[in-house]
Amino acid sequence: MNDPCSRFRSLLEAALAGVADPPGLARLGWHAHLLGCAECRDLLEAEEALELLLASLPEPKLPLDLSRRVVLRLQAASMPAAGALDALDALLDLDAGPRVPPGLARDVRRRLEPELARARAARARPLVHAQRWRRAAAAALLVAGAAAGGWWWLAGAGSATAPAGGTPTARVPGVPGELDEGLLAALEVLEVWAAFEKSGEELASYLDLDATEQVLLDFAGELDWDAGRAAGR
Amino acid sequence: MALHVSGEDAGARLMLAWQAGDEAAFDRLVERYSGQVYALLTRFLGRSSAREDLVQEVFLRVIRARGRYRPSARFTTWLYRIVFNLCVNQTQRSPGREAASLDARGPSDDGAPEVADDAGDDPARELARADVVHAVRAAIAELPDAQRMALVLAKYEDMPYLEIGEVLGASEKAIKSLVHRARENLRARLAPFLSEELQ
Repeated sequence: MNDPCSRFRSLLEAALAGVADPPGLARLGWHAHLLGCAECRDLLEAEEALELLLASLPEPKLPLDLSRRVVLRLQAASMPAAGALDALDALLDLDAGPRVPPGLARDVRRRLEPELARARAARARPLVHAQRWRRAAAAALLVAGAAAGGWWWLAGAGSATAPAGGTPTARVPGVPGELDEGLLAALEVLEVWAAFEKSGEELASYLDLDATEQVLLDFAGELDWDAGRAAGR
Repeated sequence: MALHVSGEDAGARLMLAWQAGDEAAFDRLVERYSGQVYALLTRFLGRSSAREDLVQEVFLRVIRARGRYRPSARFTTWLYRIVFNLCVNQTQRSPGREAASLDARGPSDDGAPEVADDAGDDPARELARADVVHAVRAAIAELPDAQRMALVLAKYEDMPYLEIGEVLGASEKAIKSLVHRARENLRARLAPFLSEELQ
């Protein structure tokens, strides 16, 4: 092979390696050496055909599970005891858990402040509870007094107008026969007492509520009262 | 009955102190447990954007239960029961939302990869490992609520079956069965990864 052929093939190798300026084989087709050298002309044509063929091939794609295979191989290499562990546990252990946002506790505490303030205010209201008990006790005394007065009137003053030689009696609709007036009065007292006990239970259950529930109930009560006042207008 | 409340149950101690009027005890409760609650919510619901709101909701329920709290179990057991109830409400309210949050691949909210640290500094390896972690999370997210919570508490919180039973309102035997079924389901869903693992 003579020197011009060697020089041309050096240029060809540079073009194929992508280091020629400008890159590619097209410029070499005009090289003067090719006019007199059929061997180099054939070589260039063969290289051009090969370049075209390579360019027409599809882009190679990685297997879909390559990354998974790689990581599992790496994991096996980095965990010598992994063989002794349950394989599932080894997979689950890969998840190191979430990173807690910085300042989370502070943010949560700040956002809960209104609720805490409401709860504190509700807890600081024992005076209100005492007032409610005092009111209930006063109502109980009043009811008991009225009941005792009624009893006295029926048993004592009432007996002055009772028919001589007999106990006052009354007829109750739906009840056959006549009932003793004293018994009726006693039943009335018991009825009043049961009503009082019921209201006492309601009050006790109110006092058992926690602070937030009391606030909500109070608020609902005020709404009802406002609605009643508006309706009365 | 104060069964488990001893000196080491700091949560119960703080809760009782708060009940007795020490307002600062609540701050310490939030400081101590908000991270754990956040982690449990993330394990259960995935990287849902509602996690921080739910942490707040958990402590809101703690505030409302202040008067009723009795230290009959470990504080975390009581707290995690609140978390579980909220999680179930959340999944019933917005089914599919958690799956959507799991589908959002890539770095976590704070830009951290949230995978085990032994991936080292190799970014390609870390990325590949994140793929596996994503598959594991997706498989856990597909478990039924009770199985998922039982598995998360047993695996990631190291909670004894008896205490998990108190969280979920089930017997110790039932929890063993739940965890076993959860693991069987995970084995089936992660079979391709496990077969590679065994080779």
